[in-house]
Amino acid sequence: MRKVVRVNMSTHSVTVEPLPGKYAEMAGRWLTSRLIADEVPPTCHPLGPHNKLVFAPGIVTGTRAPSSGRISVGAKSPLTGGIKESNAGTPVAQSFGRMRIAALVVEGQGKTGESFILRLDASGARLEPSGDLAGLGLEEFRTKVVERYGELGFIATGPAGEHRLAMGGICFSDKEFRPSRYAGRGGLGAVMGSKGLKAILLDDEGAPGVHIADEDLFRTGQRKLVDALREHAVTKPGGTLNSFGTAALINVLNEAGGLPTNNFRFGRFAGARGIAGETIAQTVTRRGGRGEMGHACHPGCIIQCSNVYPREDGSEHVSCLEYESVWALGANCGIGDLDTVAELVRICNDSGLDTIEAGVTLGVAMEAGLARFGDGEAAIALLRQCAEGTPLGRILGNGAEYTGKAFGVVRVPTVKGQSMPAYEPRAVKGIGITYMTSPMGADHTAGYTIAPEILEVGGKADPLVASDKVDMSVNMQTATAFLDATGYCLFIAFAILDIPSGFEGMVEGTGAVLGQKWTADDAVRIGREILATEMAFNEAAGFTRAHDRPPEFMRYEPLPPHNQVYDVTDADLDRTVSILKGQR
Amino acid sequence: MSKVSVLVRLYASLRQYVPTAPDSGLALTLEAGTTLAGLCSKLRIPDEEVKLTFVNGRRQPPEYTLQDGDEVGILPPLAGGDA
Repeated sequence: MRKVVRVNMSTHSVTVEPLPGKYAEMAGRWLTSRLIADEVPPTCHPLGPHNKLVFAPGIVTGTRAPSSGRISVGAKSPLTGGIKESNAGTPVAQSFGRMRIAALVVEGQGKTGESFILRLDASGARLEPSGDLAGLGLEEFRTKVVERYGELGFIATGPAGEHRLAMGGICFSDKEFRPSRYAGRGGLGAVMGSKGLKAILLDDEGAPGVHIADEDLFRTGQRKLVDALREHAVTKPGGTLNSFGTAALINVLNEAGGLPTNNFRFGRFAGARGIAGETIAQTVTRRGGRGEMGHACHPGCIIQCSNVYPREDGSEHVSCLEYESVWALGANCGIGDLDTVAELVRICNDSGLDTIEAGVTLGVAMEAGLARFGDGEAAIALLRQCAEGTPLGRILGNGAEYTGKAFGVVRVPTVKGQSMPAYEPRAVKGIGITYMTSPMGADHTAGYTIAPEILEVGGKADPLVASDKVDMSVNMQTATAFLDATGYCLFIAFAILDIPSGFEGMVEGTGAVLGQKWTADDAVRIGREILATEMAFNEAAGFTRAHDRPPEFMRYEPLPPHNQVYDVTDADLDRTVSILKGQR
Repeated sequence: MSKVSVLVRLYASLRQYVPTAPDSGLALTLEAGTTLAGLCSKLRIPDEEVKLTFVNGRRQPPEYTLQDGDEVGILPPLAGGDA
């Protein structure tokens, strides 16, 4: 029987109860969004006592299913004011699955200044005062935790979250206990900080493991999925994700004229090559030492797209340099020096900041004249202030939209208050539909139309064409919502979009865990249900059609090199939202 | 026969086919009428390793005929984006 662990921060009590029957099949984003919709008043203050923070591993997470170590985190977002789900790949997710914790719900609110850690193990769960762990940067936090408790998986919020800054993410340990895997988006770290919860430490020794209702069907499904992952050129061992990491995309988007540069002024960056995945891989090889490509974020991943980036002397600088992080803190700030970008990512990981929101905010700050585009040292000095909690750090730490308002900047690339990621919607029109309409705010992972529009994966579409992309975004958003419930990494999509038997195997194997014989129809049904739940929450929270629009400058400012504006019509955006709400 | 000048950039695993190519790209003079497929074969890049070809920022098919001044990017199957 899966269980729900509830931690009440007002009363410092912990209860463990069986997962209610109405949630029996739910997991991951399906469960976090359903619980938030059922238990959190949509108009509550995100940092107040009525918001809740929910952690839920996916359906197959903790089994031997490949690349399935994902955990979803949900709450009402202090960044967007709407419902939020952000997920991370981490061994901690697998521990949750093996311990049969369907959901951990953090509710209530401690008194100002209180800070606790939650210990979760076979004997149950208990809160302990954080003591000298409170307020620590996550590198020092990790060192102290390992000294004191040994190598335990952890979930933590950094100083940014403890300052309740909307750029604060939630950090998970990787398999070497680095503070490096993030559910970064939407300010969930601030929600954790607002509760007075610094961290969660897990010991899964003696855990019973995931109950698989239909072992035979599970095995059959897994085999089909593994075959697809090993066959597809992108996901196979030695494939591009494995060899060059996700930042291989820097050169691709630069070629396509869709790499946002200098706060979304240009679609190409002259320094792109210097920060691209190819250069990261070369540097890792040349410097040697602790550097590593093809690093796995959790055991059992067969894609292994992560990396460990070394300093010149071979010592470890940071893990990991991902595409969106490198773009945000590199090209978007006009910074072409990889070591500077690595240092900015390290500061984010240590402070507990979302790298995407951080890079876009720095771009807006540069636009405001707080630093020159390309000035890495100034960017480092600005970013450090978020953890320090200076007045300027608190402005920056609340994200790009807040910073734009503080400094009177018009060119602010956000939707629903959340920064756009690394794909320029004026050069890739379909991804813009996802940005404008996703209940998450601007989020590429919510419906990755980049696959057909740029990569020719799962179909082929001209990125500059604005019409007829509603269904593409809707279908991607629906499939992604389902995938976010399974616990699989989104990257399996590259293989299963092209190889139908892989998709079939993924759906079958997931249903098998629950004793269900699921088909593609079930995946669509569940994906729609999740989206409709989230859209209803946002509507009740006060979102209107005006929130589903691009930032106005994208409507009138043409983006080089294609010199296009964002020209997907309001009618198409409204139609997308109607479909997502289930009003087709 | 007239000629066209093009600038060619190879990415990721395809760089091994012209390891000496400068970062700014390989400046080539080709017979007029050369297609993208013809260019790849001239560079001895196996067809099955080429997934995406960009010309001046737009994806073009293998049968595209190169024009004077074209900037070409050739890529293997790629993906990414942090999940």
